[in-house]
This record gives sequence, C-alpha cells and structure tokens, in this order.
Amino acid sequence: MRNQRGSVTVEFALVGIPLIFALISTVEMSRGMWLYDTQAHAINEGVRYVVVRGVHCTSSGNACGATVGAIATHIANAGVGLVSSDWNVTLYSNSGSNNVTCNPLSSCLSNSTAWPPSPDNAVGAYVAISGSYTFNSALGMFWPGVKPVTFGTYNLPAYAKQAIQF
Amino acid sequence: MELALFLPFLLFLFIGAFDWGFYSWALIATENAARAAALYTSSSTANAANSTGACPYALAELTNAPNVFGTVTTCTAAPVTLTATSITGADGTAASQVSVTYQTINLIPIPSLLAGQMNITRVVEMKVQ
Repeated sequence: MRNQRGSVTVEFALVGIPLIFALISTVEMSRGMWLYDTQAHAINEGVRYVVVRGVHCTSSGNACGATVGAIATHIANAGVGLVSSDWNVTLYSNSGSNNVTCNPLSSCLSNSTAWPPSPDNAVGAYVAISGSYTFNSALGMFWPGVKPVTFGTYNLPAYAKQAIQF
Repeated sequence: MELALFLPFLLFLFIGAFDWGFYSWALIATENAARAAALYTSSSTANAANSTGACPYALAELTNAPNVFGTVTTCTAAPVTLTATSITGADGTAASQVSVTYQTINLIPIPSLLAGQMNITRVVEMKVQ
C-alpha cells in the first residue's frame, strides 16, 4: 500500500498534461471555426447589401445607394463578436479600378464615398468582397516544443461574389 | 492493455469527427455556391441557362476548398460541375435551375461507415426577374 502512495499524482501528471492540451485545443479550434463561419456570414451579408443597391438606387429619384461606410458598418454589425480593428476587408468592383481596401475594417466605417460608382453599379456587374480576420489563438502557447511561449496568429479567409440585382 | 483495446475506437472517433467536420463545411459551401450561381442566372432570361457565366460565382463560394483554391477555373468537370437550366417555375413563370456538384478531397475512410470521398450535389431554383 505504501509503495503505491503518490502513484495517483504521477499518473495524473502523465495523463493530465495531454488531456489539458486536448481540452484547450478543442476550445480553440471551436472558437476559430466560429470566427471563420461568422466572418463568412458577414462578408456574404455585405455583398448582398451591395447587390440590391445598384444603379437603380441612384436614378429615377431613388436615393438608396450604398456608401463604403454603410457597407463596412453592415459587415461589422453582421460579424457579431469580431473586432473590426483585427479585420481586413477589400471591396472589389467589376472593372477592378474602383476597389477599396479597408485595412482594418474600422478605418472605413465613416467613409461616405458612394460605392460602387458608375458603371460598376450596373445590373449584372459583379461585386466581390474578401475578408481576412486575425485570429489570435492560445493553441500556440501549448504546442509542445514552442519556445518562447507565444500565442499563435492565424488569418482566417472569407470571400463572396454576386451580381448586382437592382 | 486497456489502452490497446480502447485506442482503435478513439482513433475512429477522431477520424469521424475530422471527416464530418470537412463534409459539413463542404455541404454548406456547395449550398452557398448553388445559391450564388442561381442569383446570377435568375437576373435575366438571357442568363437563365448560362452555366459559364454562373461558374465564377459558384467558384467564389468554394474558393477556400483545398482542391479548388487557385487551381479550378471552369465548372465542367470534377471537382466542380455546374449546370444551369431554363425551366418553368412552380408559379408558371420563367425560372432558372442551377445544379452544383462538388467532389471533396480524399479523406480518411471508415470501412462500411463513412466514405473517404463524397460527391455533394445541391440544386437551387429561382424565379427569373
């Protein structure tokens, strides 16, 4: 009996370390996937916002056209839990000459420039938005052999493209 | 001894979670691809059966798939096949039907339970504007 004293501590040390690593990995992977999915949803929402505010929003007395700031705000609001200062977003126009880069997204929130400008806002012209979210994960901290102890940084991508409808 | 008995189950549990994670992502991405393509084909009667024109919109939704990113530019063969058809919708007016098939990368199969590769097909119908 006396010889077995302390074996629980030793066994826990052997099993506990990988178990804690697995637990933290699971939480971090889940958090990463949640951010990836939320960003994809937000970017899709942003594209949808633009494609229903095309050329007809600036003609026939209509004034419902989109601005860079309104698009950026719409994306930021749809990305619940994502920090706009860690989030790079690029708006791509049909011609390629009216692209807007928001590095980070927060820098575009008060931009009042109408977007996309004519003729890139014509019905049938495409609009694309790409996003890259910086995910700081605790995974790197517990990765065996990593010295010095650091947090891992991953860039989560997202991309959506649609044709202007209105 | 106990570990040796338990390890195969643990291994298959891990493989199953890994495979299904990827398949679930592919199912959602294929659904989004078909929907984005249908939004384009439903924009006019001229585009209702325009598979070539709809292809970039479908590929944009699948761009993060490892067997699509930077390599696939057409939708005529695996891994991405897209077919747009001009049809009459349920309300009797012109509509467009888009079918997208995405072939996943080779994953680890579990014999008689889970295939190592899947062909995922999603069909979307949308009224032509």
